[in-house]
Amino acid sequence: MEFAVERTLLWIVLLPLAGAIINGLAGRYASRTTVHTVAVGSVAMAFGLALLAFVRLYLLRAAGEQDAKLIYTLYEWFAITVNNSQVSIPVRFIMDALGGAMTLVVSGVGLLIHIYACGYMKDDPSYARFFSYMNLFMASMLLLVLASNVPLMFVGWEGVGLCSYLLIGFWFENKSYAEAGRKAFITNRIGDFGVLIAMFLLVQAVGSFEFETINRHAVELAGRWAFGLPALRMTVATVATLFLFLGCTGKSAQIPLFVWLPDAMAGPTPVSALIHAATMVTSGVYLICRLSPVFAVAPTSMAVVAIIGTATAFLAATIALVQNNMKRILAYSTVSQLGFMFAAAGCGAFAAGFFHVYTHAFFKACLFLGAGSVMHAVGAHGDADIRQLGGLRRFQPRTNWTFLASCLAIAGVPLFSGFFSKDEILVGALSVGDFFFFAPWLGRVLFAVLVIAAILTAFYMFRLYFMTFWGDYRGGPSHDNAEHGGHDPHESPGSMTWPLVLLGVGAIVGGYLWVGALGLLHLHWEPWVVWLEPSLASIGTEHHTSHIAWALGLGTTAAVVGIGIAWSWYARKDVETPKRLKEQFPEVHQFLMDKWRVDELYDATILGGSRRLGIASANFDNAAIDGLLASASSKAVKGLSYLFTRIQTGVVHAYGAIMVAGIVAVAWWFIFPHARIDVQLDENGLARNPVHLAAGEGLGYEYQWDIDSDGTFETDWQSGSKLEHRYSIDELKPGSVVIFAGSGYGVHTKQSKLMPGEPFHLDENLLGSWQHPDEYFKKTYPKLVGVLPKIEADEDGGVIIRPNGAVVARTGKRIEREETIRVRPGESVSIGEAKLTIAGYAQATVAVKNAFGLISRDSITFTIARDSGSNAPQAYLGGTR
Amino acid sequence: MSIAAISFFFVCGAVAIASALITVTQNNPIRAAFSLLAHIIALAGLFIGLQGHFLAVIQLIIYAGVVVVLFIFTIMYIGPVPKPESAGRPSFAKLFSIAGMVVVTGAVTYAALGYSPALKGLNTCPEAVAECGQFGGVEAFSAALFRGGVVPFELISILLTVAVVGAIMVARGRLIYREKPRRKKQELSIENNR
Amino acid sequence: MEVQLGHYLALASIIFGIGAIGFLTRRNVLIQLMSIELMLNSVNLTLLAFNRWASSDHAGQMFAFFVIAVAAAEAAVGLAIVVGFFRLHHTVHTDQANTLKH
Repeated sequence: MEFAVERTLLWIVLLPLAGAIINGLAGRYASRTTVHTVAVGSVAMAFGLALLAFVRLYLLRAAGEQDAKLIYTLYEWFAITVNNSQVSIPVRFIMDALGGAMTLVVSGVGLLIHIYACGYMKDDPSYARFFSYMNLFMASMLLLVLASNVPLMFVGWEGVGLCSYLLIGFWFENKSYAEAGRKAFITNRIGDFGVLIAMFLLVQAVGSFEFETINRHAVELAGRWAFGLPALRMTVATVATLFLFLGCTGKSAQIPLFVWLPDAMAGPTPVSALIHAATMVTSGVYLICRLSPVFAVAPTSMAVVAIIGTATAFLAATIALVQNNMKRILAYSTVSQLGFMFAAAGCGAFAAGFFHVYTHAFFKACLFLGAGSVMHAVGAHGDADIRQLGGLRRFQPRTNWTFLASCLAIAGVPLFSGFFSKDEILVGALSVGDFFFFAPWLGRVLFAVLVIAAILTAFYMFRLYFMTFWGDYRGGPSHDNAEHGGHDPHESPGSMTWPLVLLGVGAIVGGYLWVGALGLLHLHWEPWVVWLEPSLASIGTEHHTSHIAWALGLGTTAAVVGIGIAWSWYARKDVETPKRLKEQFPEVHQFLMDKWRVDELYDATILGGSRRLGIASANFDNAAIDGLLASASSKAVKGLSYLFTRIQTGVVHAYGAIMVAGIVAVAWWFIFPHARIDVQLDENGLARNPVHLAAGEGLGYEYQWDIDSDGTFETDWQSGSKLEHRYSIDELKPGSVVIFAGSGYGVHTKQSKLMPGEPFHLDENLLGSWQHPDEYFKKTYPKLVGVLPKIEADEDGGVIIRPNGAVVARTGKRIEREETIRVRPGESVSIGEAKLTIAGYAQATVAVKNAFGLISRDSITFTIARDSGSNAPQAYLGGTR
Repeated sequence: MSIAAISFFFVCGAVAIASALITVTQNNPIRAAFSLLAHIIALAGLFIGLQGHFLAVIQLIIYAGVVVVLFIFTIMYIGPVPKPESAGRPSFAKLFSIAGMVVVTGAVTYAALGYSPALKGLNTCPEAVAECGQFGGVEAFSAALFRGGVVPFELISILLTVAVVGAIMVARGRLIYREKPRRKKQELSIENNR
Repeated sequence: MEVQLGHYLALASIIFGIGAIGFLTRRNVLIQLMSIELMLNSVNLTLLAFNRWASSDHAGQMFAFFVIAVAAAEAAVGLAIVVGFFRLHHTVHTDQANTLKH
C-alpha cells in the first residue's frame, strides 16, 4: 500500500484524541506511568507526524510548487442548502504554509509542556483527568489549525474553549477557581456568537465554507453591501470580519473581552503555559491570518483590529506594572503581547503578527513554566507573590537562566527572538500609511503607543525577574504546609527543567527566521515571510529603510529604558522610588491595581443589568405566572378533581352503574338511525343527469326519497339505499347558478347562485386577455374600452349579458358589443379566456327508518349540469328528449 | 333447513340462556361453574351449527377443559365462602345497572331479530388453491390462519407466556406484610460508615 | 322457518346482557369472572354467525380463535389475582377490594 502523507493529517488530530479517550475512560485505573506514557506518547507521535507532513510540504515547496498544500478529505460531514444550492461541509484537513507552521508550534510546544506537566502534576490525585483534558485540548487545537472549512474549525474552536474551561476549573473544589472557569467560558460564548454570525454571513455571500474559496472571493465580498442594505455603508467583508474579530477578542482576550484571561490563571501552570499563553489564545490571530484576504479588503475592520490590539497592549501592560503575583503578571503580559499581534495584523503585517505568535509561544511558555518551577520550588499553590520571593537564582540556576533569556526576549532586547518580531510589528505599524485612507496618521499614533507599551513591557518583566531571582530570599509564601516550611527552595526535577531549557533556547534563536533589521544594509534574510507568502494576503505597503531604522532605534531604546528603570528600582537594595511613587499617586496605583476597574464596570452594567432582569423576571414569574396562572389552573383542577373524587365511592357497583349509563348512551347512538346522502359529482363539482344518489347504509334501514325536497315523498319505503333520478326542469330550485371557470394556472371553478335581478361580479384578473384588441373598436367605442361585461340573472334561471368592452363569444360566434344577450340555462359563453356556464341546482331529501321505526332525515343540495345547446325550457333536461 | 337443524338451534340456545342465568344467579360458585360448563357445551353446539367445527372443538378444549377446571381448582382452593352475600335491599346502583342493561339488551335483540339477510352458499375453493378443505374445518381454518394471521398468532403465544408468568407471580405473592430480615443490611451500613 | 342471522345475534345479545348484569350485580369475584366469560362467549357467537353469513374468508372465526386464547390468558391472570386477593383479605367479595382508595 502506498503511504499517503496526507493521511497523517488525520492522525495528527486523532492520536491526541485517542489519548484523551483512553486516559479519560481508563486512566483512573492505570498507573501514573501508563497515564503519562499514553498522554505524552500520543502528543509526541502527533508532533512526529506533523514534522513528517511539514517536511513533505517543504519538499513540495522546494520543488517549486508555490501553492503547495496537503489535503485529506475524510468524508462529507453534512450538507446544507444555501441560496438554492447545496453547500457540502466535509471533514477535510488541509496543511498549507500557515497551517504547517502553526501545527509545528502547537504540537512542539504542546509536547514540551506535556513532558513538563509529568513532573509538575506528579502529586495531583486527578493525574489521569488532567492528561485526558490536555490531550483533548491538543486534539481540538490541531483540529482548529488543520480544518479546511469554518464549521470544522469551529468544532476545534469550541473544543479548545471547552478544554480551557475544564482546565481552568481543574481544581474545582475551590469555588473561585470554578468561577474563573465559568467566567472564561461565558466570556468566550460572546465571541463565539460573533464567529457564528460571521460564518453565516460568509456562506450566504460566498456559498462555501471552505477557507480557500472564501479567500478567493474576498474582493467580491468587499463589493457587496452587508444584509443588502446600502444605507449601512458597510460591505459584507467589513461586517463579517468585524464579527470574526469579536470572536477573536473573546478567544484571544482583547478589549472588551480580555477579563477572563487573568482569572484563568486559576488553572495548573502547564495549562496556563499551553492554553493561555502559547496556543489557544493565539488562535484569534491565526484565524485573522487564515482569512487575511478578507480582512485585507476591509480597511475599517483592519483599523478596528489595530486600534483594539494597540489599546489592549497598552492597557494590559499598565495593569501588569503593579501586580504582585507571578502568573497574574504573566497573564497581563500575555494579553498585552496578544495586543501587539493584533496591532500587527490590523496594520496588514500579517506575517509579522504571526511571527510574534511563533516567538511568543516559546518565550511565554518558558516564562510560565519557569514561574511554575519557582512555585514548585517554594511550595506555592496556585500563584506566588513576588514580594515573598527573591534571590532564587542561587537555588534554581537553570530556571533562572531560562527565565532571564525569555525576559530578554519579551522585552525586545536585540538578538533575542522577541526583538525581531516586535521590530517587525513596529515597522508594520509605521508603514501602514495610506491603507487607512480615512486616517493616514493612525499608523504613527499606533506606533507611538506600541513603543510606550514596549517600554512598560520591559519594565514589568524585569520587575518580575529582579524581584523573583535577585536580592535575598524573603521566605516564600506564608503557609503552614510542613513539607516546604523550613526548607530552602530547590531546583525542580529534570522533567521540568529540560523543557525549560529547550524553550529557552527557542526564545533565543527563534527570531532568526526573519531578520528584518538587515533591511538597513539592503540585505534580506526573511525565510519566514517567503514561506508564508502563499497563505497570507498583502496590503501592498512598502517598508522604507527609514521605517526600519525608526522601529529598530525606538524598539531597542524602549527595551533598554524599561530594563534600566526596573534595574534601578528593584535590583539594587534599599531603593524607595516605587514606594514613594505609590504614596504620591495613590489613586493611580489603586486604579491600576484594580485593573482599570473593567470587571467592576462589567459588573455594574452588563452583569448588573442581566441580574436585575433576572430578578424582575423571577418576580414576574412568582407573581404573574405562579401566582395567577399556575394557581388558577391548579385550583381549577383541584376543584374539578374534588367533584370527581365524590364519584369515586369505592363501591364497585356504583362504578358499574356509571358504566351502564355510558353503555345506554352509546346504545342510543346505535339504535337511532343516521341519515346521510351522497351524490356523485364530476370533476367540475357538477352532478350529471341522471343523478346518482346514495344514502348511508345501516342494519335494517329502510329508505324513502323526496327528490325535490318539496315535502312529499316520491317513493315508498324501500330497502335499497341507492337511487338514480333524471331531474326535470320543474324539479329544480328557482334562480340561476353561474359556473365561472377562470383562466390561469391554479384557478378553481367558482359557483355562485343568483336570484333574479342579482348581478354577477366578474374578476378582471381571471379573464385572461379579454379586451377588444382591434384599433377599430377603440376608435368607434372609446367609452367602452376597458369596461367589464355586465351580467345579471333573469327570471327564467338564465342570465343577461352585456359585453361592453370584452370579447364575448357563444358557440364560437362573437357577440356584438352593444347587444344584450340572454344565456339560457344549460348554455355557456366565453368571456375573454374564461368560460361561463349556466346550471341549475336541486335539493334531495331522504328519510331513513330502522327496525325500531325511528326515522331521521337528511338533505343535500347540488348543482346539475344541464344539457347545453337547446333553447326550449322543457328540453333542458331529461324526459322530453 | 331441516327441522332437526332448527330444533338443534333452539335447544342449544335455550340451554345456553338457561345455564347462563343459573351461572349468574347461583350463590354456590361450584354450581355456577358447572352451569358455565353446560353453557359452554351448548355454545359449542351452536358453533357447529354455524360451520365452526374446529372452533367448537377448541371451545370445548379451552373453555371446558381449561378455564372451567381452573375455576373449579380456585374455588376448591379458596374453600367455602365465609360470608354469604348480603340479602339486604338492593342498592340503587344495582337496580339502575339491571334496568339499563335490560333496556339495551332488549333493544338490540329486537333490532337483531328483524335482520335476516339471505344466506349464501359456502365458498368453494379458489382455483389457484388445490385443496382448501371444508369451511370451518381444521384444514381450511389453519390455512387461513397461517396465511393471514401468523403474526397475531405468534403474538398470542407471547401473550400466553406473559400471562402464565404473571399469574405465577401474582398468585405466589410477595409477602408484603411481613417484616424482612434487616440485620445483615445494618451491619453492612455500619461497615460503610467506618 | 329458517334460522336467520338475526336469531343468532338476538341469542348472543341476550347472553351478553345476562353476563353483563351478572358482572354488574354480583359481588363474588369468581361469579364476576364467569360473567366475563359469558360475555366473551356471546361475542364469539356473533363473530361466528357473521362469518357464516359472509363466508368468503375465515376472518370471524380467526377473530373468535384469538378471543378464546385471550380469554384463557385473562382467566389465568384473573384467577391468580383472585387467589392473591383471597390471601390478603380472606374473602372473594369485590366490595372489600378498596385498598387503592385508602
